[in-house]
Amino acid sequence: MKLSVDGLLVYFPYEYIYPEQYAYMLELKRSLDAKGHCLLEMPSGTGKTATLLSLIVAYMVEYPDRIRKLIYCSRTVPEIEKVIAELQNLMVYYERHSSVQPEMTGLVLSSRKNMCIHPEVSKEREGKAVDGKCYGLTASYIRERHEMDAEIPICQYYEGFTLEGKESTLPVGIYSIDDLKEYGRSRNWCPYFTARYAIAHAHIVVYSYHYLLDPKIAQVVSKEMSRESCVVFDEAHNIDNVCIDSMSVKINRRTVERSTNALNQLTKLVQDMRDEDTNRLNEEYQRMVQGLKDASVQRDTDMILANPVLPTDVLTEVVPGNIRNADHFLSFLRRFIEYIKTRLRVHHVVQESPAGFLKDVSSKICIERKPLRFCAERLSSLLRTLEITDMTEYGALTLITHFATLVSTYTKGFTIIIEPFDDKTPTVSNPIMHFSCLDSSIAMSPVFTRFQTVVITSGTLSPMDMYPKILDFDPVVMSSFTMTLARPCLLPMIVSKGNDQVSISSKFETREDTAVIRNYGQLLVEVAKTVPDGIVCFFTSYLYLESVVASWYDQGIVDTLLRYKLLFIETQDNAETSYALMNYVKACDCGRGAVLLAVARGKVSEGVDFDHHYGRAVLMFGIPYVYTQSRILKARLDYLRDQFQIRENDFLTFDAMRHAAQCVGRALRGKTDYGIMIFADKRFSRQDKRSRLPKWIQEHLVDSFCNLSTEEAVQLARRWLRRMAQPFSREDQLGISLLTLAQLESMEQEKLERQAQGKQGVGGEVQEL
Amino acid sequence: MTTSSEDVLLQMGEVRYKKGDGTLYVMNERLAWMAEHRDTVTVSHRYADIKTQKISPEGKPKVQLQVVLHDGNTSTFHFVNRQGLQATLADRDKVKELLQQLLPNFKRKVDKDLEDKNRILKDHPNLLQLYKDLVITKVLTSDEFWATHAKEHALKKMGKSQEIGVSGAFLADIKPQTDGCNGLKYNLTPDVIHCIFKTYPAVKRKHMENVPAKMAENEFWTKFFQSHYFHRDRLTAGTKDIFTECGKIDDQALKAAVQQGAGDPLLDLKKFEDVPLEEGFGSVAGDRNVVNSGNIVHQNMIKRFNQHSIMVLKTCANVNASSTSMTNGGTNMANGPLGQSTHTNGFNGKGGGAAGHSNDGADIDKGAPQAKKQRLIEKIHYEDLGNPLLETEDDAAHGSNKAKQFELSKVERYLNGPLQNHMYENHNDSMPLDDVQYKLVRNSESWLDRSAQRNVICSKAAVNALGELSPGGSLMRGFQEQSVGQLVPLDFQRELRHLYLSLMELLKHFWNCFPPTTEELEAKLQRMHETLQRFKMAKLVPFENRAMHELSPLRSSLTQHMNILLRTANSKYATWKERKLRNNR
Repeated sequence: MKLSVDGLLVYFPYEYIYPEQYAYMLELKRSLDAKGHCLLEMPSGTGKTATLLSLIVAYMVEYPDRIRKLIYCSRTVPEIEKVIAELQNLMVYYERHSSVQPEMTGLVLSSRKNMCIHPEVSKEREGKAVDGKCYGLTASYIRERHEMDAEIPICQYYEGFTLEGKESTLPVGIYSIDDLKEYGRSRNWCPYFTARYAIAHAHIVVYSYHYLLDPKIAQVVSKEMSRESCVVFDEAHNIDNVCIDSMSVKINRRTVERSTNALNQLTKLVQDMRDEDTNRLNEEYQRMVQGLKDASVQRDTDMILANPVLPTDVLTEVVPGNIRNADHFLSFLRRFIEYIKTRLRVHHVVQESPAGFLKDVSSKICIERKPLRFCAERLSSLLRTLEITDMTEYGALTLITHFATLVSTYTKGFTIIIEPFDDKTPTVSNPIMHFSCLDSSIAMSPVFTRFQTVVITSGTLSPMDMYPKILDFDPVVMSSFTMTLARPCLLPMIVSKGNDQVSISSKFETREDTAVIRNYGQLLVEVAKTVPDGIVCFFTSYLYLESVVASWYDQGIVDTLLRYKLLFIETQDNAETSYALMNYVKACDCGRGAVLLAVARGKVSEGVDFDHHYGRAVLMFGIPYVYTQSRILKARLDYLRDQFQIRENDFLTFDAMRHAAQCVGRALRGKTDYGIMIFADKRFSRQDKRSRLPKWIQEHLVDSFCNLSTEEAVQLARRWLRRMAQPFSREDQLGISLLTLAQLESMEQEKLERQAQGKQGVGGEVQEL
Repeated sequence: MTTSSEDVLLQMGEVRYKKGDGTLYVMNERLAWMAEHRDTVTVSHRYADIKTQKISPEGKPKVQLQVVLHDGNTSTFHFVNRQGLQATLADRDKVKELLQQLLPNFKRKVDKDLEDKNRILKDHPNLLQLYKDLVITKVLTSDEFWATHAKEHALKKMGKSQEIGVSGAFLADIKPQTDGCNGLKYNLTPDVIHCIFKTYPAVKRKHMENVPAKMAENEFWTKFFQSHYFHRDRLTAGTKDIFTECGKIDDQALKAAVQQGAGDPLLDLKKFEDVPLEEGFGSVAGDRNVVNSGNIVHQNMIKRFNQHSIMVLKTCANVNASSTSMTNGGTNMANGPLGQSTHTNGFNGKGGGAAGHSNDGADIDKGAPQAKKQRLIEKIHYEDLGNPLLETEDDAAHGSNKAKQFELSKVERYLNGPLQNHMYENHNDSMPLDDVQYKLVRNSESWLDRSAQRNVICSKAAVNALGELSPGGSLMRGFQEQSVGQLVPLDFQRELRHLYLSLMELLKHFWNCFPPTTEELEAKLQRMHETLQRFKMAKLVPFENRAMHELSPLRSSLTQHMNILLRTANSKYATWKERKLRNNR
């Protein structure tokens, strides 16, 4: 349908529209108009992606000068591919129904692993291996050597691309990964580099968070993006963790050992080279002297990882004298590694600030801050000079240099924690040095300053006021949409006690209690008896999952459960879990029904949808708090308290509840879908927890559903299921949760009339901002 | 001497029969005894004739083996090994065990046929009546009866019984119970054993290898229950356990399957992450990719649970596959002139997609992105918002001819009508799926435009009409209150019903022969015609006569309809005969 959103003509590629989609468009448009950032929560399964895309594309068509580019970031590869599919759908709609074609190029950028078409390289399964092999075929000096000696293998696709591809632009269209591969094959161009080049002038770019948030990659990939861009972070409920992860480093004994080995190797190589041909080393030295350190950076294939610090923090000075010489640099590194080795030899936990660490470094081994800051760059330059293609050996050494650069660049928002052993096994010495980022806004703030509009959206962002705080930005619009429903298609319930009235909770004191575990088991069995098809259960951690399953086996609950449904369990092995998952789906498809036990914060909880019969009920056993004894977490909590005035408890509850919501939200992926959500923990019924659930869940969680026993919950579920099983057609929804264009317009009309009668206009605030 | 084709499985000397020394031969199909120094077989029992074997109880001085025949006769063999009692016992046991294995094979064969027939007749009273009417009165021979008229019953019995599914909890059904002393009792039923074999082929293989060669059935299962394999929380302990290998085989199979990866791109967790964090980066949340040293026993158990569920699922997947392929074959054959079946376009939901995944071979490379795209489109599809416009190439091809066109694959068949007899063979199958679908579609089209047919009579008129049609109404005036039912005595009614039943059965087969396109059918037609004549003479005429005597008012009216039926059949036959003669001329 073609609809007008606040005066903007939007092509929406479906016949009908949900009211909340329209409301979402309105809010989104406001923030685009205001050139500000926004935070929008809309339940999963209400067509968020289609809404976002159709509005922003329409905006770009209408005001090409205001927004030139859409950068759409999502979390997982399947999500990214879904976005592209939606986009293709939208463009088909434009093609058929619009007189003016948008003439937009949209494409996806993914890692080499997903995009490579080289017959041998693409066979590798590990992303690293693909990167390494690709580097080995496309690095500038390899290609130079190939010119001398045709025997040296190069990648024909990359050659094809450099010959003709660099100058030409991609024809207008939307390219998914497979389309790009297809295009690459037909043109004999490397799809990866085609995409890398094309994103500079494409109108729509879809890729993973890391390409924008991880400074190591962002600098290589997303360097040249105009300010007039709209950045969308979809599924952004975990965005702070992504920011933190990309800037935190862990060093253990193995890292140190490996880097020592790598260092020895390098020393030998440098020696060999000196014997052979001193020219190149001298050249490099001269370059350093003249400050031409990034002369070769222009050759894109040579860069695998850039500097780990943010672009604004990179020093643009000449490399300090004491590490210009290759030998000097190596011995410099050796000293630093030795120092880390001694630091790892601790018997008790040490926590210190980066500043303290630097001071200790300078007093113990006389290394100043400045050369440390250049470490990462200096090493990559050396590796280039030595023409090393296989980077796998040097991973650990690279990590150490990154650490050196990070620790010397950032003194605020980071902490260093050295733990001599794992908390679970205090007798086994396993020292780890964590260099941990505490402030997610560090990685995020350049994105906010660099781009005009940043949209942060997800199905579960509640409580929303937390995000502006921890990401440190000022949203123009902050809104949570609920789901208009023609029938109550979700049934959230809080089960707080078992049939024997023992209250159930996963809190630390009672979690190993047999009564609690048995009651959890009985709840699951009862639900499995009542609910058809698939059931998904989430536990708070792997450890808890394992111990509960073991107890259930002993108590015979597993056997009873197997009478009703098959049982699949998430393990820590991804491949195994995928296989189990596939079988789970098969079991649901063939009508046998199955139970999947998974873990909150696990891969399943964040990437797999259990729509329709794949998940008729979700059970959340306990509140998924993070492991609160972790020192890193404690440090972060302290930091949040000091810097942003966020109370520890608030943050922990916020974090737990967003994961809980994320888990239960997996079951509901649309208005025709229906699912039961059971929160099995007494503590959920407390106001501070309940009120932090997303609005669309809270709305259906009435007081009478908040303190149920197993029996009562099953009773309710039974009645509700009977109701849900009735046929449900589009006509039932029309006018309530689904609108035709005519209905939408009449609704709009009414609203305008009301406004005209003197009520406060909704759009008024935008102008003020 | 025995014929050379009969292999002697066991030859046992020093066996006495009726006080005479001799040798006992256990052969392929019979048991024979030959007296010493003679070359004729004195005793010979076919296994088929043997009902059971009995042995003398332990401890008795005489070591004997007795075979009991079906006719009640017995033969007793007395074992007398000179090397002592032990050797004698050993001899006897050897024979006994061999017989034990051999006898069941034959027993079934003999009785099964008769028993089956008996059972079928017992289960289907109609069939029994038919049998009585047709076979006992010699209208049909017994063989003919079974071959033609009770075919489907017999087939149903003989053919595959429905596969029993595997319950997920079959291991739990074994439920160990204490037997009062310090032991455990497991309830092992044939069903459970069947389930175990089906789910764990490795155990089945082990069973075949070991039982009865190396251990007894009992022992095998005892071992099974003691093994870690059964107890999922136990670790692989020693190598002594014969099931260790089973576990390994299963693990390998699982690993291979896991390596192959999930077919569905939306479920493959390995491929979720686009750019994994560099090694060593990450913080709290990153901890999860370190395999933490939890309880290995628990982890193992979880793996077993997954494995168990996967294997149970696999058993039903196999059944599904075979059955769907069967039905597919069926419909394709029956499709005939309708051309391509419509349900192969893969749009009909997930079944098609799943089948596509299992297609292996060269086209998987090309098919994978297609399938992926299909999945994605399915995912972005909100049924209430309307269809997405995006189509895969597959759909595009199908979309263009969505309006189904009537295409004739063979024009001449359409014009001349079907000729091949197989069209008739499966007449009593339910209609082919496609036809049904087609008809339904046709029918349902007319449902919608109900407005055109609004000229239904009004309710008042309907009630009036009903009233008139009820007893006492004006339209029912000519109706005789005294129905035939009241005039004809019960036994006549029953007999009449039986007659109808038989006649209909025969007529059914008679008409089935038309059009007689093959020699076989012609022969059958001939035969059926004769049978009908016989039926008339043997059953119908006597009944008519009796009715004439006892029920004068009704007389022939009772059998009038039957006579018409027969006459029609006769005339049809006559016409055919005539035409055939003319044609042949």
